[in-house]
Amino acid sequence: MAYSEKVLDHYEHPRNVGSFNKDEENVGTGMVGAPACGDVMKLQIKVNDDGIIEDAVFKTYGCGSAIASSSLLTEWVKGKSLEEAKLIKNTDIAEELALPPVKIHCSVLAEDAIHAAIEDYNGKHN
Amino acid sequence: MTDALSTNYFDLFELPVSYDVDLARVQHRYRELQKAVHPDKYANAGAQERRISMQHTSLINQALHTLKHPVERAMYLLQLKGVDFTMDNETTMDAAFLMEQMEMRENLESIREKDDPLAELDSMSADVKSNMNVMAEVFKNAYISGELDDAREAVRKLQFLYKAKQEIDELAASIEDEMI
Repeated sequence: MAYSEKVLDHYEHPRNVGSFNKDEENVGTGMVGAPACGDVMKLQIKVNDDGIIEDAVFKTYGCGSAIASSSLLTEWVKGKSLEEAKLIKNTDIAEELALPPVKIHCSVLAEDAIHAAIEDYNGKHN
Repeated sequence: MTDALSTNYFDLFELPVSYDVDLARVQHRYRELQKAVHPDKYANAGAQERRISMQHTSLINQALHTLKHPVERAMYLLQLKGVDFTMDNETTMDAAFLMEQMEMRENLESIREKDDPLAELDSMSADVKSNMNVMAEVFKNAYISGELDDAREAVRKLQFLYKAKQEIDELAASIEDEMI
């Protein structure tokens, strides 16, 4: 299958690959997986006192589309409030990356990952 | 044979509907079924009969594949109970399990730098295999006691482990190739 140029760009030059210490107070970690393809995605956010996502990193083992989806998402969430970040839809990611229908689930994975990360952060602060 | 297209794979292969299957029996029954519907027998038959024979052949092959496959057999058992995996977009699961999966893949990434990568891969493969056996037991127990959600979760983990084992074994094969 041919990947779109944007997918290839993120795949070859992934943004924000890395890890934060998941035990830190201001870090939220989202771990998700797609059993059918064996993809695993870890997305982490660092949130400041105003509830703004200051930084985001990811680590994804999976296909090009899964890597591109998480890479793009880390770019998008930076500078957003938790509420704003929650509003990002998998369809926005799929559209931006021109994902074909069989790869839509990769963008779903990324959306679920940010939700899980926000939930993890909120869990630490409630 | 006319009913075969509407029967389930276990009945078709004259097996009890269970995760435990006697693979020798499966293979034996496969040959019997194959003989009965072999397209050569229908060489002089009409178009419709030939078409039905081909449908049966592909059903038998699909059944064989499913019954032999450690993950697909489990999924099929759940499908018979109405649990559908075809649109499985659900991604959240046991975070600790996923963390293990990620660590294993990180380990795989740096395996070539190890002193004896093949030995490492062998032991990783054996670990995953034994995890798969444990997970298959979890599945079986949940399935038998009708805990379908638990059974489904076990299948999802089995899918991961199966995929991981494939990756480990493929990497081992390619490292072996390079050494020749």
